[in-house]
Amino acid sequence: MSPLHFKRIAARAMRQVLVEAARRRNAEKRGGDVEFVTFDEAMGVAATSRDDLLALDAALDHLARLNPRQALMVESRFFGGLDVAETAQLLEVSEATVLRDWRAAKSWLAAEIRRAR
Amino acid sequence: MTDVTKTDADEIDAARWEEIQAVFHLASDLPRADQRLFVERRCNGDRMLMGQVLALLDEDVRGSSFLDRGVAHAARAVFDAAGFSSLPSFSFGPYRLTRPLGEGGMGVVYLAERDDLGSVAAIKLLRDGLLSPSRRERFLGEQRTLAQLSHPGIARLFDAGALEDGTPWIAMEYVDGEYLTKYCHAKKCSIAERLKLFRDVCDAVQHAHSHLVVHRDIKPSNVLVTADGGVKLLDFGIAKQLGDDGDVGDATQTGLRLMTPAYAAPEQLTGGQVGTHTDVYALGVVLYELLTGHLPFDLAGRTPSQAAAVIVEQPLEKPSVAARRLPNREARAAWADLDVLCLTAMHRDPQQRYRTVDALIRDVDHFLKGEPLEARPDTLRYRLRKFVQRKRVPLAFAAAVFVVIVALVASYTVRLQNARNAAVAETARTARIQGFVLNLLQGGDNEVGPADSLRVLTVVERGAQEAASLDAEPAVQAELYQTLGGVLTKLGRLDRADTLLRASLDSRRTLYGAEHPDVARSLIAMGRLRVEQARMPEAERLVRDGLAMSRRLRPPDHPDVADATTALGRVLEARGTFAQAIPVLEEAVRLQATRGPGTPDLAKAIVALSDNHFYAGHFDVADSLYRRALGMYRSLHGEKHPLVGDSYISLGAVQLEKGNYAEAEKYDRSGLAIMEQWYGLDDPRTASAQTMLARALVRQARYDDATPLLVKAMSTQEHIYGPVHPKVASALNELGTVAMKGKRLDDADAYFARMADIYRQVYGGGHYLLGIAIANRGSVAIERKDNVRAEALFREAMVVYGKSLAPDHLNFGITRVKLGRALARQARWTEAEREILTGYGILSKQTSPSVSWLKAARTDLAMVYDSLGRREEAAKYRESAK
Repeated sequence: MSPLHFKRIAARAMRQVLVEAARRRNAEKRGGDVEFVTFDEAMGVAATSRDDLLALDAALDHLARLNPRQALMVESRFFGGLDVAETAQLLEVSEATVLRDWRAAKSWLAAEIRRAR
Repeated sequence: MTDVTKTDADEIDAARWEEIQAVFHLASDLPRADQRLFVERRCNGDRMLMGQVLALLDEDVRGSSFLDRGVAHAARAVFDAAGFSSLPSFSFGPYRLTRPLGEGGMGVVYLAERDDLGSVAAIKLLRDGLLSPSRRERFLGEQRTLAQLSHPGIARLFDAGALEDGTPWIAMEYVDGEYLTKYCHAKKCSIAERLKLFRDVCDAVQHAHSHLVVHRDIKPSNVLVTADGGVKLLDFGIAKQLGDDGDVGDATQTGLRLMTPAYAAPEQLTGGQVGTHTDVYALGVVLYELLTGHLPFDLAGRTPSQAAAVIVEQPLEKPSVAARRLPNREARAAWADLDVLCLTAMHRDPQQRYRTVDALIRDVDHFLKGEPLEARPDTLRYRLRKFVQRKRVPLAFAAAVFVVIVALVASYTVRLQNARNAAVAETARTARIQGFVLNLLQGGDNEVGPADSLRVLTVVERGAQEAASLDAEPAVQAELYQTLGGVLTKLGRLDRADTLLRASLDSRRTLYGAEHPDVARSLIAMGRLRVEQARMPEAERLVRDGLAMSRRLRPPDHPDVADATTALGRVLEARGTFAQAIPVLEEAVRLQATRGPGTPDLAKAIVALSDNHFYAGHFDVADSLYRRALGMYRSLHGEKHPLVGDSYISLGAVQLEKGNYAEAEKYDRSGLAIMEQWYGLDDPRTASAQTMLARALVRQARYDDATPLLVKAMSTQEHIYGPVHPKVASALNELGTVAMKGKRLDDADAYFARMADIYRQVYGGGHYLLGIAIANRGSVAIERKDNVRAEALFREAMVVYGKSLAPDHLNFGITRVKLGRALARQARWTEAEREILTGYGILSKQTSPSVSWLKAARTDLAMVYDSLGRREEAAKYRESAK
């Protein structure tokens, strides 16, 4: 397996791990019998980010239906840390296309995440 | 949920998305002010498209979405709060968190108040400890380090513990002060005042060195000066224990990555040996900065490797020259001495620096008194002096010593405080610290090396020696002895544990009299040891006395009472009186449950209760209780923890008893894998797991697979426990069984005879295990066709069973079936019929029909009825025997 494909798989794994963890945490939170003493603020930020993560996950699924290449690109870049050159190589497109796609996809995903709040 | 207007994004399809992007890309490069108009025109009245594109453009400008913050942020949001969300308010003992103070490389620090004492502390919590064993180890390293140090110039450790998920925390002295350099600047300190503060810092560092601790990250921002002018050295996060062998390279690497280059000694940067001389160098840099107002080397804007080159190669400007830019009134002669002080401390060659911080302090003192320095160039003797090899501690410090010393430091602290409150706090603290060390020994962290019993033993011995020197502090000494005795009991060093626990008990009786909560705890600890020593009557007496005393002196919901109740249940179990143990342990579970769900103590009590149900033959109850414990342990400790392994093996035992051997084997293999990985191959707990697996294999007639496991297990058990111990007997039982199946009948009988001897010596005549040994000899006799002897042995076994087991216990069933066969072979058909039928009734209620005993019983019954001429009944059993 090429290093790039390995990174690509790692990105998928990372996404799954994070999303699952966020779900578990939120489930815990909803469990209700946890007492938060002085961490209200910190917890709030973390909880929001967890919800954002779940919203991103859902939006990425949607994006995969609209444009699979963009979804793969976001997953690889965001969760896998691939840089522009690597992403371009992986998707077999030019770096300019990566940047273009990234900009549009990112804005759309951000809007989706905002909407889910 | 502020914006509920749907922008119909759900409805867009791939074609629409292309349209949106096309407009977006055209518009996104326009100036913001022009975008809206452009989009409006371009969308040509398609308001939906316009809205969608504008929403994207808004986000594009914002650029601060979740995606922009990166995956690390997301990961932190998910995992960071891990410690907190499962954090009940009482988890930090008496401390109530008030506000975050800051975040270090390793953890988060909070300011906390103690309501009972009205004092404050800083609580440091390791972040993501479960994700990174090496960080966890470093965090524990800091604790160990701090625990050894007790000096007014070092922020002291108050307390340590772990959250329910195992995340360690420490409570330290909270220091409210200003950084050393800032303080001197703000107060416009004179050179003499600066040197006095510097001397205090040196004093703190020297204290650490005398405890074989090198700080490795001394810098002004790690030195605070409090309002009363006292200095406090902080952050032993990358401190190194001298003699911490085996990881020199790695430790240096760690240090390199984490330390601050500006204060790093050349040898730290070039991967050389790090030692006390490294701290001497950093102190020299601090002094340089105090004297001149700036760092010796300008490292701004340099990469780490460039910085290293500068420090290692660039000539150093004398402080006297560097300080010319400052207004100062020191005489030239004085500056000459300050140059010597500074440059000797900062010498590139470690061998030419002050050899110890003490030597540096002496010269600071000489300077302050106007005396000649020892390090004047003409008297420099360091140059040619062979570098004296440091005295090395023979072994790395492991968890135990650290906690031992924690107990020491914390006790001293407590001693100074309000006596009554302190006594209350003390109990809880002690329990937590003990729990912590036992936890570390049994689990916690692979990298700490809990599996390495020998290493831990050495460490415990060192702790015991230190404790022995504490004659002036008998109460502290007694507490240490109890902790160490408990650890040694767990490690199987029973004689040594005996000595320490006895000393602890005697000392407490002398201190407090016969009736005292601590005396009660000593009695319980002794009782637990006696169980391990298989001295059961004594064990029961000790634990009953301890429990009664705790009940007299403590409120009913006190942890001591719950703990003692569990201990009593365990003793009753060890004595084989399960019917008595069950209600006691139900009470223990109830008491533990009032102290919170999912605590390790509750899980422990549940396991004890299910063990007893298991032994009493209530397999379904035991099965569900074990499953409950397994779930708790998994979420408390993760998948690879030995307590999880224990739970698997218990579940395997249930399946074995129910006759589901393949199922049992599966559980046992899971359990054994965890034990081997955790404890290694030569550990009694691994041996027990091997025995259990072998048992499942034997029942599947895989004798060749089972024998090597059993031989290994028995030699480990004998080695650890001595020749007369139930664990050895258990191994003999398995070996005997295998020998019998392999028709080595003399061997088998000898194994079972030795097994019976051990049980008789250990438990007296009434334990069901003795019954099993005798019944097994009966089985050998049957194989030898010695049916008279077999009958006698089976009857003897049932007499023994009768003393502790209910008449419908599985063991009765099996033995009755066997007895029936012995009778049938003597042609005593009617007696045989009665025994076999009774046994068959017992067995068929509790096991699956395919179990070999039931099959054998049906065959035997068919034969008996044939002989009695009752053909219909014979046919019935013969039919079902197929």
